[in-house]
Amino acid sequence: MTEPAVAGMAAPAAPLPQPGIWTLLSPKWRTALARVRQERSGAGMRVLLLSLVGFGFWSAVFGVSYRVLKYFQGVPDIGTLVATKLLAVLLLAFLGVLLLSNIITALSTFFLAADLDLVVAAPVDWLRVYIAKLGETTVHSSWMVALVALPIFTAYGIPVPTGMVAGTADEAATARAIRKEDRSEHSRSK
Amino acid sequence: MIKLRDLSKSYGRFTAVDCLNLDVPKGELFGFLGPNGAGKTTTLRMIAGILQPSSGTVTIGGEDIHSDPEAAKAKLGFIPDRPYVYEKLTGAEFLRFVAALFGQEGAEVEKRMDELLELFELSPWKDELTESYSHGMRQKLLISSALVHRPEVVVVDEPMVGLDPKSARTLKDLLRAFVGRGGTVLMSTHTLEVAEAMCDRIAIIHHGTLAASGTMDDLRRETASEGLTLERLFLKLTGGEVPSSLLGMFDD
Repeated sequence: MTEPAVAGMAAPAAPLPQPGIWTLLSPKWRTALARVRQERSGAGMRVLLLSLVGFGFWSAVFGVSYRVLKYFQGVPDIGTLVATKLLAVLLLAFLGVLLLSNIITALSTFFLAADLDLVVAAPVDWLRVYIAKLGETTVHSSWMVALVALPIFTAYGIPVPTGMVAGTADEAATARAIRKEDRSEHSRSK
Repeated sequence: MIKLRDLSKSYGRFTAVDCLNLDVPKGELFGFLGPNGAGKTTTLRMIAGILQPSSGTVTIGGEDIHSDPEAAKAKLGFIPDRPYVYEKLTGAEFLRFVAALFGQEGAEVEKRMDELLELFELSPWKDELTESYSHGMRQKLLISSALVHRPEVVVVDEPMVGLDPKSARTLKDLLRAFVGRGGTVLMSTHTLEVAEAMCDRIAIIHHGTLAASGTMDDLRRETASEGLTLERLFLKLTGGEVPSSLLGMFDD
């Protein structure tokens, strides 16, 4: 319900309609679409070559990861543990790369972007501008890491589907064996 | 319509704009002149809400640009000195995007867009990517984008740079027509002939402070320079005349 205007006082102005985040990002995704259209119309062979190289790289990363994990799976006792630790190291490395990449991209997106004057001079709520720029930063700084991480994580998903369960079972069995050994040693000493 | 009160901007110990007071009433084309580095662009960027003043206030149509930026900016069309357009957007897509930033879309925007593109002879390039536009065409597109949301005030920094004579004439006529219909224009320019011919009033800024302000007659009276052209008056106020001793170097 709208409040009635009080005589002698101006009614509060209606809030200005604000563009959505998708609209604020429209120059970015339209730019991406325009690039794709240009590539399609002009350089078919280049796109094909790039796709082949990309697919080859992706397959190589997947293949190496798969072989290594398969080998770890075959190592008794510590195999699963090593695979788990390797995953932890990889996640830490990705976190470091993402952190650095996000800081550098954020600096250019938030402070050096050529379109800042255009957007800031428009009556757009600062929070919307911030969210749009944050989304842009996230995509720009993370797509490469996601591309590299995908084949590695896929490889983790295939040979060690029950990796964590198996690892836990191994550890439980080891713990049981240690306890059994302790008990027998205790009874011997008695 | 535009009110600047004690407006200052400092960068460290350097003061770019120093306690500037200015009033531009509704329906006036106001010229803002000054030598390079005088503080014109800094002032215009503070009016557009791009720069935060160190002190002082900017009011547009009664709305303070810093306490209610959205209401103030909604009344404003800003044309910067360096035109930036998204290279991979078509002219039409760019104008639609700018209109959307001002919360406008639909048939009204499409109609207005077509009118502006027709006016600046950009209609044949409407669906071409702006990367294929010349500098002048980009400038014309940017001017169209500042007008697409029907602003009450237009702040324009060096509007004639890069425009061919016909487009410059169109822009002059457009700004005069805009003012004739009750709009307000604050225009920074180095082209003194344009300022003299077009502007109702002129302000000359030097070292960040207002050196003089008023109609051409006011300026002449203030500076006791009856009969001087704006160029001579400008040089007198800003100390820009070349000393005769320097000109002597060509004698040999």
